[in-house]
Amino acid sequence: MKNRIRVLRAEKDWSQAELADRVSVSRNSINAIENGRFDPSLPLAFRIADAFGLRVEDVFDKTDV
Amino acid sequence: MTTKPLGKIGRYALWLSPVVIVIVGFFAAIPWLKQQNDSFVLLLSAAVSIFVMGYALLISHRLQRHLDEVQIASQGFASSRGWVWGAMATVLLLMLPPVTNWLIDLANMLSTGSPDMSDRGAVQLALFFGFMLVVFTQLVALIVASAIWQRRMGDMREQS
Repeated sequence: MKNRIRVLRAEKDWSQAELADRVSVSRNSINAIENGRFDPSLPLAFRIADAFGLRVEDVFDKTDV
Repeated sequence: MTTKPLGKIGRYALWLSPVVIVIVGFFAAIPWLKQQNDSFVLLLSAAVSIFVMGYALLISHRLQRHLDEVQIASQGFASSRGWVWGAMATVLLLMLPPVTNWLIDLANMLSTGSPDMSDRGAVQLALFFGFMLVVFTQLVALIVASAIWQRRMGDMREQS
């Protein structure tokens, strides 16, 4: 699943670790999700979107990588 | 969720230390245990086994409480592959004469004091070592499978 996490992080000037802390997962998990290697569950996708103040569909794209 | 790696390793080492101390102590006490009566040795072996299994369960529950979904998926991948790979590796290892000879010699040595003599105790020890070998190789296979998952999940470096 494609996502805009890297771009959004860059806009907020957040590191992967900072985002990981905000959504209560490990930095490696954020790395895996950001690179499209792991599709997050719906609750985690909502938490990530909430951290950026956006809707899920603004962060994640249903198109496969 | 992010902690300093050294602090994390230290905490893990601290948590694992009781079980390591008990196992090392038990093996170190084998020469002394051989001089004690059978009932006492059986009772102590049972107590040590129950402690090690109970402590392993406690640690695994504690660790699982802090896992996120990617780590849980990693654990699922590692355990689904690791047990099978470990069992297969044990069979392959036991087909190698140096490994089987070493295990037989070790069991005989600890039981009778000579690598060429065998008794009932040696057979019991051999069975025990065989089981330990299965568990050990499965543990190694779990670690390998977990490393494969981590590699699949991508580079560990920050990609800002």
